[in-house]
Amino acid sequence: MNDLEHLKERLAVRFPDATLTIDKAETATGSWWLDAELLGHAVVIEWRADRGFGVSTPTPDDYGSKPHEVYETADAAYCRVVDLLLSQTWTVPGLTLQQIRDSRHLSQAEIASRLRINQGAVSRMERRSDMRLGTLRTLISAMGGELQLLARFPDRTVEIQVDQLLSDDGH
Amino acid sequence: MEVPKRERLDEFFRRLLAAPAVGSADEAMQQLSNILDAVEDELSGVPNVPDNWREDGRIYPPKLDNVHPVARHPNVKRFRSLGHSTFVGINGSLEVVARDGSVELSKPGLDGRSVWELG
Repeated sequence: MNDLEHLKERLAVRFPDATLTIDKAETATGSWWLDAELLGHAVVIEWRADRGFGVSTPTPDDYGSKPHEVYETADAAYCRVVDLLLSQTWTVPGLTLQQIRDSRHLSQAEIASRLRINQGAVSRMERRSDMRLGTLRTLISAMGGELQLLARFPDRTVEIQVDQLLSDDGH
Repeated sequence: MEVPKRERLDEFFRRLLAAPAVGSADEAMQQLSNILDAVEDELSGVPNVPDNWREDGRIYPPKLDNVHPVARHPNVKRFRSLGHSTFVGINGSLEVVARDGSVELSKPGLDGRSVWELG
């Protein structure tokens, strides 16, 4: 029995009323899939021995999508799937800053205008690998959003207070 | 600017249906991949990085190692992805089916037969 089959057994004990279906790989390198559904809420787990567990709540537009969230261990994946099935909530695909801006239908020039900086500075911010928290909050705010930080543990997810991490001048 | 995923998906299906029929499963998968990659290169704004195993906003063709046999249809293969299955017939036919069973696309092979007419 592999890690995904173990995961299915644990979920079957936790949710006797859930529908749990394994779609096993036919090739050595292929993915195994577990379709979990409870009260009409579906969670799909893709497992590859070399990569771990991809957890997603699929939508009709998810043709050709990769996993929304990735977990290295079976315990972490189990806790996340339990959380999703109990709360009937959705996974959150990670997006780059450029993808978030594009999804808001905003150009770099529009963001630059809102922040009173030049467009090149916005471009550099989007490509930066180690950004200050205050800068990130400012950029998200300029897109019309609010920055939230979440820390995900195997047994629960907690929100970190952003304001506490920033200095008095917002950086 | 990135075109929404649903619109890109519809454009991919439109181009795939408009493309000439092909005569084998390998040709059908190659045609599907070529058209999808072209649509995404033009409209997604997301680089093509198939080996990065986490959602990046781009639509990728089915992975060839995600192939599954289809019960009672030895001439059909199924390629599993997150929310869909792509069925491919040995005559080059294709069908994309969502998890809820709805058919998103159905295209006959070169001999005019659909996936489920192959037996």
